[in-house]
Amino acid sequence: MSGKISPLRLKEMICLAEFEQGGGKRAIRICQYGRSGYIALRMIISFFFAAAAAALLVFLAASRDLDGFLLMIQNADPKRLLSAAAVFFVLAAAAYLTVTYMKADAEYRKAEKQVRIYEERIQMLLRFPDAEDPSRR
Amino acid sequence: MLTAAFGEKLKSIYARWAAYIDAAARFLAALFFFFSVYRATGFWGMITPPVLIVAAVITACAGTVTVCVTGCALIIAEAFFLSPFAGAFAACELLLLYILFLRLVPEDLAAFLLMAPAFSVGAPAVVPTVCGLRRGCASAFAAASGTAVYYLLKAFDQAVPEIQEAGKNDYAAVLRALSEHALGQEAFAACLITAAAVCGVYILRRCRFRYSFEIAAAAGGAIWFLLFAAAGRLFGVAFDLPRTAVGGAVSSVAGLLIQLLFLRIDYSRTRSLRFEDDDYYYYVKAVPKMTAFSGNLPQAEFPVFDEINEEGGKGGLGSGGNAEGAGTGHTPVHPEINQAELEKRLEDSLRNL
Repeated sequence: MSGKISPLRLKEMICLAEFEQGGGKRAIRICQYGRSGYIALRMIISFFFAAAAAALLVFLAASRDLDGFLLMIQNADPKRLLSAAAVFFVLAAAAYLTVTYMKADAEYRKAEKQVRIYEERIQMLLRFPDAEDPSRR
Repeated sequence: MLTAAFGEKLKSIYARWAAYIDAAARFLAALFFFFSVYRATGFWGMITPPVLIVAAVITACAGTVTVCVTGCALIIAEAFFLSPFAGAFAACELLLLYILFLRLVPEDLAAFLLMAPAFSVGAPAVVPTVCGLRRGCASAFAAASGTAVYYLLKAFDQAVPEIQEAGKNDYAAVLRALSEHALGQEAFAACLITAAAVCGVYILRRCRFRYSFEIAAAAGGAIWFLLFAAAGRLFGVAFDLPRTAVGGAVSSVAGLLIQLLFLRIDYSRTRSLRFEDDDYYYYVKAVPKMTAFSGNLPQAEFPVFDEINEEGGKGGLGSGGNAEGAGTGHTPVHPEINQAELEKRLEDSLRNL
């Protein structure tokens, strides 16, 4: 084997390494999962975020008249209050999880495409001859 | 041609020094954001301009996410020194913005950072215009979150007399004062207008009619001003319309500048093309991007899909290259590809990674 590497091959190796360490790091990590597995994972995480967001939303909405809000809770029928809270939470979580699903799906597709190109480039790199490799001539 | 050449020059400079230019841009964004927070609050005596500059340098080296986290921590800390309940309110609002919007668009955090400084200098429409021109509709989330942060900072400024009068431990008064200003109709309308301006510019840019890029660039400021004027009537809020008009004009100029430098299109060389594969006929309108190298190319050098199909056989898009590639004035594809062409193709495809 000759010691010289083609400049083009070197450039491509650097580009691929940059992809692995930079923008492609996340894409490669995402593609370790299957599509449905990745989306399910994102939705489970998002469910907890949705719960936190609903609580924060209620707090911020009530902050204009916090005393009045607490008084209203104290005087309200617990069953009606719980059912209203449940309906609010289900609607908020459904909206948030729908957006999460769309986002995760798009992310996965994009990552899959990037990794496919990356793998094709690696295959191409393996086939590409060195500059002064007499054994390949 | 001069602007196209200048745009190419800027791109080549950026390609060479990307790491340093990115870090410098992050530093400036961090500095502007931190100083916007400092100007609006300033309750914590330890935070001084030299401290902010050092913080901007450190966070700029670490990345955009670090700049955002540090900026939000600064807001919460400053609010905490005003009143512990103000700190809790700020933390809740920022956390809500993160969960609802910023978590979904981590790549558009720059818009979030720059919105408050843009409001401070009186040209807030620049950020939505640039987002619409260079990014997608999703960046509306980040820009609207930035607007919400600006109104939060403004609320601290406006609520100080009320909080001092009521006492900083009166939680009901503190929360009422802050929520009236930070979550009022004005803030809500401004967030919606910001999102609408981003989407409006983006939709115009994607339209198929001639000069859509130019119109989108110029329309950013106009959309911003018209929506503020309409919202003022609708919600009964007294927006500062002369200032909004000036900001809108500045944003239109900024948008046109970006369009001239980076989004130039040569409509004089528009071609309507037709080609086919086994299943479809394709009718393609190819409008070439104007670069410093393609502006003076004669018409004859422009590749035609029908010719490519004849040369390379029936193959559709795959054999002839895509319409955009055909429009850049490159030579037609030949079966024998030399080393230089192969290198260029590889670079192009790697750039697409």
